[in-house]
Amino acid sequence: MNGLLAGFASADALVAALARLQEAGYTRLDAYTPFPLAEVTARLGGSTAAIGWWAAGSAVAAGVLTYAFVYWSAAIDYPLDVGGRPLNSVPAFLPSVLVVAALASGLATLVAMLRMADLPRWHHAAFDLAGFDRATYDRFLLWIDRSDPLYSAATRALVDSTRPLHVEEVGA
Amino acid sequence: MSASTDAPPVDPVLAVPLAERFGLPWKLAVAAALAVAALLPYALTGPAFRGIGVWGTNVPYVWGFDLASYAWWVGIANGAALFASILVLMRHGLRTAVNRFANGLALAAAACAAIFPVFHLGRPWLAYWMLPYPSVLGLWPQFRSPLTWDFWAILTHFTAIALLWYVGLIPDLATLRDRARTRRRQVFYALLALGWRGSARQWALHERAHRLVALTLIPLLFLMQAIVAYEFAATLVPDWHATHLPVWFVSTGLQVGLATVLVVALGLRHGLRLDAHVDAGDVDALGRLLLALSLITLYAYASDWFAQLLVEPRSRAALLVRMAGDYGPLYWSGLLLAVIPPQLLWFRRWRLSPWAAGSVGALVLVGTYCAYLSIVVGGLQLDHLALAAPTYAPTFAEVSLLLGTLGLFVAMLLGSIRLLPVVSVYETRQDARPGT
Repeated sequence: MNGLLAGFASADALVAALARLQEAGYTRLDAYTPFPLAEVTARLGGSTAAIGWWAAGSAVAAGVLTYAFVYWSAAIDYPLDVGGRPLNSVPAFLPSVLVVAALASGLATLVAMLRMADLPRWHHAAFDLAGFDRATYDRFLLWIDRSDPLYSAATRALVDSTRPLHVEEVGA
Repeated sequence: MSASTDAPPVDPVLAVPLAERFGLPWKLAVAAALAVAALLPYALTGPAFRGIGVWGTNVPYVWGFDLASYAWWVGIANGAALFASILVLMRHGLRTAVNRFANGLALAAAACAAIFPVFHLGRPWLAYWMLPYPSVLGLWPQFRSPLTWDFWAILTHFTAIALLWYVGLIPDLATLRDRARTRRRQVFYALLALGWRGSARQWALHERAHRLVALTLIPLLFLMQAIVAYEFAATLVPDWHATHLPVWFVSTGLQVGLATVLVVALGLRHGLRLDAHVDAGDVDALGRLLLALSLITLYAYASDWFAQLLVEPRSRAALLVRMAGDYGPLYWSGLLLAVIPPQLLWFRRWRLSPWAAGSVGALVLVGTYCAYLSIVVGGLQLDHLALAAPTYAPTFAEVSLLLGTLGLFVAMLLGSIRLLPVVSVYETRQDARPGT
């Protein structure tokens, strides 16, 4: 972690500071909050549509595969003629297929979310920052990465003007 | 900027899992639950090692207490989980109070439900035969059978409820990780929280994933509850062989699930002093919902009468025997206990009285059990063959199994209450923020 960390006491203060920095043109920003803030999600959340695609894709793929397997096992590998009824018993095959499709979609949602959110992790450099443990409780943290093109000595002054509780420069 | 965004209003919720000591009443409650759950080793070794003959089930009553208890637990699990996922999806204000423990109790109920079919197999250690694996016999599970559907349904159902519960828990586990002051707790919650940091990106993804899992769960739960009904409907037993049976199972299942949520909500509100989080408005809303569901159950019964009494002589005779035969009292207590007591909840005064609302919930739980016992046992009384069979009565082995799962359920519930926040902390704070 290399940049500037500012802690705020309230969600509104964080949102105001974030807006100020974005208006000034900063792009490499992040916010750590104890609960989701609609304004922060809109500004920094990025697209989450991929999770939906993974969920839908997994449901379709698992459904097709399950149907194919069920059909193969009940109509090809071990056909059982019950009173001349069709071997491809579509209505009877559907419950297992739908249930497995839903299961795959749920698990894919979890896996996609974790992969995209850079989880699970044993450790992250952010956890070493002083006071970071309060980001899940009562602090609203704003992060400006040093890789931001606008990052300069003036950044600190700009952040200070948003009146945070504390500001800390991390790394050198 | 209001105070509610600054000072976390959720300390009473976090205090429960973070407390080093939790007092004698909780210990006594756990001890009592475990004492009842201690019946399970007895109740399970009987059918496993001596055989299913220790139960009172016999032709024609092949499904006794066992299937009734299974249907009851699955109903609780489905009703509570469906309720939780609808709340998540609608972002209803009630979700912060109810959705977390509704999910937890659904999971515990699903675990209890799974015990019954597995031990009804007779040789529970061969339960893996239900899995499609390439065996030397060259056989595959019969995918045309509702029993195979049910195997997949239980498996999926359990996993999916656990998923919704866990995804919703991750941010709160991170809060506990950071608030915990003993090493053991820090490690415990840190492992469960998976390294959650609460960054903007993580929150955005989490919100989407939580809603998606809830969305997946809703059709799944209807399907699961319908599959329970198919196990009956797909047989040729006159009283069961009906396409409208899933409607009755879904409505009674939802109702019994909601009744459990109401009873547990009242217990938490008063036992853990969470009045601020499970407030009068929440209890009021739960009471209204239970009332509405009792009317839907009445409708499902009425549709049953129209479909079965007015249509086919064979099913009419079977239903009449179920209503007026040896097991008639079960039918009528099932109907009356699920429909009459909730009518008290028309009145706000009774909805807000913990004793009245709690008793109504408990009566619905008992009534629905009677209803399931009535359809399982009473439904089999008039089969196609007139057998001179003695009537069915549960043996001690069956009663102890039901009691054992009740103890297990309460023990699991108490454990989760102690270790995890019973109210969703981050959602409570999100809702408390003005303008969102």
